[in-house]
Amino acid sequence: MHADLVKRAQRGDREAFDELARTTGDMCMAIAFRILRDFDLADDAVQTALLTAWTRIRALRDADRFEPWLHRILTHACYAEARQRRRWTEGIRLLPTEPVRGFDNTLTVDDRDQLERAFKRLTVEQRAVLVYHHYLGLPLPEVADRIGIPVGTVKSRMFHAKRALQASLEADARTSTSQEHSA
Amino acid sequence: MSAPKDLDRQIESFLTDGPMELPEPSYAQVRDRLEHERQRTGFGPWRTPTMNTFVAIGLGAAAVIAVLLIGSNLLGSSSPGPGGEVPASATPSEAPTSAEPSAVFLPEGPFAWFEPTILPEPRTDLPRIAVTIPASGWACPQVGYEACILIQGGGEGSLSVPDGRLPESALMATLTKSGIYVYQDPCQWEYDLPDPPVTTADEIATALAAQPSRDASDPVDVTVGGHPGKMVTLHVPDDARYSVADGGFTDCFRGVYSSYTYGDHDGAGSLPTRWHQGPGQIDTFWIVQVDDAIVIIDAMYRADTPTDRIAEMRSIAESATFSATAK
Repeated sequence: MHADLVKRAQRGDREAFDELARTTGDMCMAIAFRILRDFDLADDAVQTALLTAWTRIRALRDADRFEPWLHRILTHACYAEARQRRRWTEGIRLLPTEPVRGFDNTLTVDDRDQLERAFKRLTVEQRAVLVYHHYLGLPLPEVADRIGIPVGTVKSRMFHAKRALQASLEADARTSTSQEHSA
Repeated sequence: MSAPKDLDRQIESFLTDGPMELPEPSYAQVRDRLEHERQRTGFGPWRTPTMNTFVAIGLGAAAVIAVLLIGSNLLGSSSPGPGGEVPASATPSEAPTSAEPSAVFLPEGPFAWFEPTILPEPRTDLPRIAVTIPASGWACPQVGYEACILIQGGGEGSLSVPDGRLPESALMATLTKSGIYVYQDPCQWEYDLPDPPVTTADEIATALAAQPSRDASDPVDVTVGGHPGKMVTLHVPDDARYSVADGGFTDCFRGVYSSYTYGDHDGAGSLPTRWHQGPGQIDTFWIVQVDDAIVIIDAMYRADTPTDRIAEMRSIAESATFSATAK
């Protein structure tokens, strides 16, 4: 879909790359936010990824694979943002994330809060596999390709991510119950 | 929270919430920054419509600057005549209308291999390299924005691997202050990026020599330009399956067989810095510790490359001198 723009960008055409960025940036933002759970970090990660893609686009062999390639760059940019964030916020309580749109009515506010907390306890790598699989709906081999890891590692991260999520949610539920009892 | 009997559904519902757009100011910021960001040179062993006649050398730039000296055998009619006479096909009037600049022929003798006259925006923290050009006919077409390519016979600054053939001889150099990730498997490089990168000549040579299927020599001590280093020779297997139609090495990840990437890769994971051009390729690496930088000079050749050509490359590599780096 983007092959022509990619080829032009590979020849140094900034207009073409700008157009590519505009056709892929929104999805990148959606992915990055869901991995990082922070609007500003996601914004930074997307900008970093787009600029990295510009500087490295000549290394892309198959112009038709621009989007998966960009997503791999984006995933690593998210990891870098998360690492940087860890350094800056060690010992600092995280502020609530930006208000979000597209609220899903199938979850209550409490459900969402619990999931948000549980999600943030996952590693950024675990969040990435969940986002690519459950948000983008990609099959596991494709997730592996987007992230740049073997399928076996994707499966392993998925397993541990879900187990950790489940444990977090159950722990949260127990805490809520005991608070209600003591109130 | 409801009972987590359908965790997948909950995750999916949860993930539907969130921003769906990159804000306009962010797009504008990216656009502004594009003006100041130069693209890295990234030639691979695959064909592109504008690069299907010449020899491609895998190289990366930014922290690494790659420089190539390519032998004349594959350049066909573009090769110079005896004494380095520039062939008609290399004259500006007949140069292809490619976006790539034309070659600049160099005199014999000292040549600033990596220095400000070559690079539009040279990094001040990497050592400058000078070598001695031992014969006439070498040219320096500028490819992309960052890498100077020295080609005997000129060429048009447009490089690509010919079908199934390897360059007869080529010489390149990479520089970094961030260490080198030596792939544990040069064929399945995507999945085995070691961490952290290795940072000394000894470690790099040892890691390269340990790569499977490389039939490596034992690393030996060398001194280049007064700096200590290691020399090691590696092979790409003769029987590695390679198909231009398939995009390179058939059994390798993305068709790429790569020795290493540099330690400051910053986004695309483990994109290779130095990848190889085909089965049977031989590379001799001089890995030199220059203050806190690593310089890798890579002479690449084939089993049938004449010994005097190999000796010439060795002479170029070992003539290298390095200026001080900015701290």
